[in-house]
Amino acid sequence: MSFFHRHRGPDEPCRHMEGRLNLVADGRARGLTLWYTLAHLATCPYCRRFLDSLKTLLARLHQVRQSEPNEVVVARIVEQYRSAQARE
Amino acid sequence: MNSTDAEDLVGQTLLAAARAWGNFDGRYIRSWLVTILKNEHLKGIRSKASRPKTVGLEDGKELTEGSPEHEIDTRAFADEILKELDSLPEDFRMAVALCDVEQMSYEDAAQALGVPIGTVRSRLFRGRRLLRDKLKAYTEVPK
Repeated sequence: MSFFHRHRGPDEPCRHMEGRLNLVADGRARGLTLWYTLAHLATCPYCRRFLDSLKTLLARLHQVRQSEPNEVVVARIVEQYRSAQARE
Repeated sequence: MNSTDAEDLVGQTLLAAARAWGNFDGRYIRSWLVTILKNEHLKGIRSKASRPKTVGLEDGKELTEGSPEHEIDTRAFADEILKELDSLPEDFRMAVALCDVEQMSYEDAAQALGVPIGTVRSRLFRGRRLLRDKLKAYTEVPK
């Protein structure tokens, strides 16, 4: 079975696949969308590459969130909040 | 925005949330807080625009003591990501920050931003594309 390909360049996915690849990376692609995307990926190195780099980007962004909040900063914010409430 | 401004903003958000607690319907608390934060931020921008420009005493990053090497690397990388995230246009930045950094669902982010889910999705995908282009060195996979 062959799939429609529309490459824009070595680092770009096929134009009609970008949204679907984003949904796959988010784990939100379902049913026909998922099937079509996976089947397309099997034959398209550009889209595979795009999906891999997208997943890497998402993993990096998730890591940013995992940094623990600075306790000193949290204490200062709570203090600000309490003194503002006391003033009211 | 420097770290002092960010702290002030979080403090004001908590205060505004406490004031508005009676009106909160009990659903989507994160979206509700993000909406308040966004409004407080806009309020701050508006009032700053009407004041003369000032320079903060503490405009740099906080110093950490005795961090192991890998933590320094992680932080340096996180700083790089946050710097590039900050440089995105507001709409795209908010979508990426809420969905990818805070890991909110599309639905919660749509609620927080007051836009339809489709709009969140298109802003998110465009924001990711811009960020991916800026952070190519970190996201590139070998050919």
